Amino acid sequence: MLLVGICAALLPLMIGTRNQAASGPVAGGAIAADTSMQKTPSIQHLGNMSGRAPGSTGTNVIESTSPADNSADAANEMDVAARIAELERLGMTDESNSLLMIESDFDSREPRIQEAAVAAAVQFGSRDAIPALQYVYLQFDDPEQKLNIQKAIGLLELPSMGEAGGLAAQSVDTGR
Amino acid sequence: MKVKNILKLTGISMALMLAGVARINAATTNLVQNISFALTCYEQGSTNHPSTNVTTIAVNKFRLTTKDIIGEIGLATSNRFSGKARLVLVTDTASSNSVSTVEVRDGTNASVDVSSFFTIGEGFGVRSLYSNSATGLSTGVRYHNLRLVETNSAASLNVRGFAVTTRISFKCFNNIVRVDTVDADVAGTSVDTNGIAGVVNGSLNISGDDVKIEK
Repeated sequence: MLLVGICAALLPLMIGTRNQAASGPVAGGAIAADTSMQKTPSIQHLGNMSGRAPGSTGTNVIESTSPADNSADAANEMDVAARIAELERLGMTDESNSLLMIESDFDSREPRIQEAAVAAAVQFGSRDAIPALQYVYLQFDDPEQKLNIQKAIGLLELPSMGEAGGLAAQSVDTGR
Repeated sequence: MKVKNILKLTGISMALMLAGVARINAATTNLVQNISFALTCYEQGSTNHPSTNVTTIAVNKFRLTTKDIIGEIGLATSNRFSGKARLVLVTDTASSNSVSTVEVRDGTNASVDVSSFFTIGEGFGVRSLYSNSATGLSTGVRYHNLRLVETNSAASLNVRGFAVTTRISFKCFNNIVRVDTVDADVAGTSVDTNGIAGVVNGSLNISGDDVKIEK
């Protein structure tokens, strides 16, 4: 167990970091702490590789060129990856305080975390997230981020599948 | 000098990792990724005649997310998954043929293999690539058609669409781990748990790059 932990700690050095090889966001290169490990004792976490949010399309090179620069980059990517993993986990819970933690990243200046937070809110599935999403919609200028938030609001405004099943006679779109 | 130290540490860490693996019997090193759906479903609603000359036909819209898919699978498999259950794609990193399984993981409960309900296929596409034959590592992006079919006794989903799959790779336990992150805009058809057919559109994502030793 200890040995695997050491491996996890050393993995960033083995991986190195990546330089952006093409246009698009950098995928990052680090390990993230895995909070799910505490929940699943039979599973040992070794680490992960990047902090990319879904949809990130960066092309990245996995060779290290400057270890000193790379270590700082890796540390930052480690934080990003850890937060994204946590947001994904929070989105799949059903506890009300999880939504508060998700909402706290709606205005993150790290686009990958911001995107992951919005995605987590959709998966969480509570309309309580809509006011916060409407607020941050006004705060961002980036059209892609605005569209992403708009789509999330649109989805959350709809009834869930369970609600729709109980509202079979309700007409959402009557053609008018 | 720093590079040499890193190389030393790398060598040590590799040795430690191999020792760690040897201590864990019947364990596999898995890449575990989240599968995430965010879809809008449109089903035929009721037809009404509110007055003599007027007929209205409605469409019912609702959102269909990962929790709903997990719920449907729970119905089909007689499992009562909690609200914390996750739908994950699990790939054995030591396997050379990249065979993956789809599982529902719900806290400390045993994973439920639901691969038989899923078919994921990739259609025509184009790709960019950076590959180093010396290290065996590669990165790149594929732009392609993707099709996903999820069928169980309770409901079904059949979607396809444009997908961007970003690949990165790294070494772990002397194995090269390839991580494909999928971001797809999809549309298709569905049948809900009441047997009502519908059309769907939205997004499908496969993300995450957790590498874990699992028994």
